[in-house]
Amino acid sequence: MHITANALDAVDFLQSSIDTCIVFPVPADADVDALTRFLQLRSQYPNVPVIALYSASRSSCRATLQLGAAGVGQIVNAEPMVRAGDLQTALVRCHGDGIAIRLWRHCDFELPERLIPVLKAALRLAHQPLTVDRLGSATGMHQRTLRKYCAQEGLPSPQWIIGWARLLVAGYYLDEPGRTVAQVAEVLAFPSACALRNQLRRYSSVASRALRAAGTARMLARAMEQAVAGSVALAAARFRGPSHNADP
Amino acid sequence: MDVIVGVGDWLACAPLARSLEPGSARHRGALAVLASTLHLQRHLESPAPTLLEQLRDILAMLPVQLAHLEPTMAVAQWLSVAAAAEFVGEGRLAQLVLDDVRARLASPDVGVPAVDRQEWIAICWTRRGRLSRIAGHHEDARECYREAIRGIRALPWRDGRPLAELGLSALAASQGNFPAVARHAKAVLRVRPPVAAVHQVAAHQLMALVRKRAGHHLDALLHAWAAFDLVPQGDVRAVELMLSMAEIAVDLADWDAADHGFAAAFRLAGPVRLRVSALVGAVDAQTRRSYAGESRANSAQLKTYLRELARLAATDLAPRDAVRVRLALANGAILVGGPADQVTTQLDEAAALATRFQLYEHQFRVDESRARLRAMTTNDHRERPTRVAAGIAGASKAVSRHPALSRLLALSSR
Repeated sequence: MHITANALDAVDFLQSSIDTCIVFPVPADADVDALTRFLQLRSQYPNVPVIALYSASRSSCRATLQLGAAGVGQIVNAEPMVRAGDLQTALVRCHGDGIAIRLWRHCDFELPERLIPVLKAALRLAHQPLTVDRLGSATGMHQRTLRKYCAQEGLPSPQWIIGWARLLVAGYYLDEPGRTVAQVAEVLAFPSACALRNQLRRYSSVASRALRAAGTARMLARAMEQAVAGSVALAAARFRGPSHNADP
Repeated sequence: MDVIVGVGDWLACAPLARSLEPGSARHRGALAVLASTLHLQRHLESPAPTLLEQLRDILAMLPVQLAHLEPTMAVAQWLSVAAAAEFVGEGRLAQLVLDDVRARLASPDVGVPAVDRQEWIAICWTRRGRLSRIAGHHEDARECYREAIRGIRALPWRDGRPLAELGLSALAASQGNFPAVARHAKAVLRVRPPVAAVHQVAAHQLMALVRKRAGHHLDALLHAWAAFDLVPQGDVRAVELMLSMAEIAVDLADWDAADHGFAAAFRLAGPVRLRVSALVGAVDAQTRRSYAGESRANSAQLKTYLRELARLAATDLAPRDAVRVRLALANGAILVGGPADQVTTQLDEAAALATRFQLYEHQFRVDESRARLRAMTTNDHRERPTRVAAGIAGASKAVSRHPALSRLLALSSR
């Protein structure tokens, strides 16, 4: 952790490192300079996750909203003190969001427009076993409503989307040569290394070793696109209705 | 599709802070921090008192909906936070809070009986259903209410089950399915031992709506009185019920009972929306009375109402209330023989607001009032009200008046 006393130092640090997260105290209404500095920092580094520290005795609610509009991942209540557990959870969530953003850009998906928001939400939540209920919550729907939505829009089922999202995140980590399948399976709470390998092979039709050699995340992304195309075509055929000739 | 995984997403879409007045910014900022705090909790802990303090004014205005939950419990406090978010119009944030509460409750917790956890999860689902219903997502609302019932079907009726049934009833009302409204409301009223008064009140209100729609106005009135008798003194729902009963009296052409009902409601009405409803209802009743051929009951009282309406018109009202106030001012001015240009101005303002905010039913009423004004100014006797000796009509009403209407008459003399 690097603690800086001013924005210039922060910029220096950000320029010389990656995988950083900004932890910024929410200023008071009177501290216009602090807000201005944050907004400038944010405009220069829009992709760095931000955790805002709120203190009832020093922070302004309006400034919280202004920081949030500029992009804040998490807000941690700092009174009476910052709890280590809260900060840790906030950092983990920011990290997960960052991975999801990078994965999305790296894989350069070509997917139906309607699928994209659901998949993006799933990727952000995919570091833990993810339920349809949780994904429904992120999309503002009861899980049954989400299932109906996917069916009506000709999309794959939410469970299918979750499966792929979890696999894509696993693929992102497997692209780091220092990690083993067992480690990735444990970190992402897959049942076992074997289960992860089987799922990789089942979804991509390629063994995990071959995937790693070619770039796991990208290979999985291409496999997913093909699977989605097939799934969408199947749904379209199902809803096409009777194919009789209307002419007598 | 609106994807909000965490509070950060909501903040990114929230209204610009600089456009919010101080109170509104304070509420939303505090809600954002509270929701984020909950999102980071592993177990359900009470919200920070310093943050709850920022919402004190809103929390004081929230109606009591839960009879079996101790207000000091963490789950009750978080449900209040969700209700506060809903109150300020941030339904999506309210949903985030409810889903996070539900997620924390899903983990077995030493010391919390499973029965209680199931009940609280069901309450979260009923609140989610309400948010979806108000947002017009009826299918989703139905699923949420059904989910609530699924979780507690075998348990005694406390808060979760009545709220789910009442939610399904309200949903059916939104869709015009009045048999279903009655079915769910009656289910709440039939339970033995009876459910808490707060749920019975809501059930009676829904039954009043059903009976009114069916043209059984006296039955509607009886249900409204049943609800009124269960409402604690000083509760805002008492005023809402007075207004409903006064409107039913108008439908029954009992103008005196209607006048008394609206007067009693106006005297007790606190929130602006209820004062508007009382005044608008009173003027509407006098208008309809006049066009039914009966003399106006009290023109001095009408002028008092019009003065109060004019005062309200100059304040910052919700769009629907602003239209209603201007319509009432126009109709009232027609009744007292006010200058035509004054009436026209009010109608033009009402029409402009109705168009701007797409309040189509009020556009229709503006047209009605314009037709009335034209009839008055062109001396068209076909539309001019004829005066009938009110004494005879009034006397016969006094003899045949239903006790429920007599009771309404007695309200304002208390």
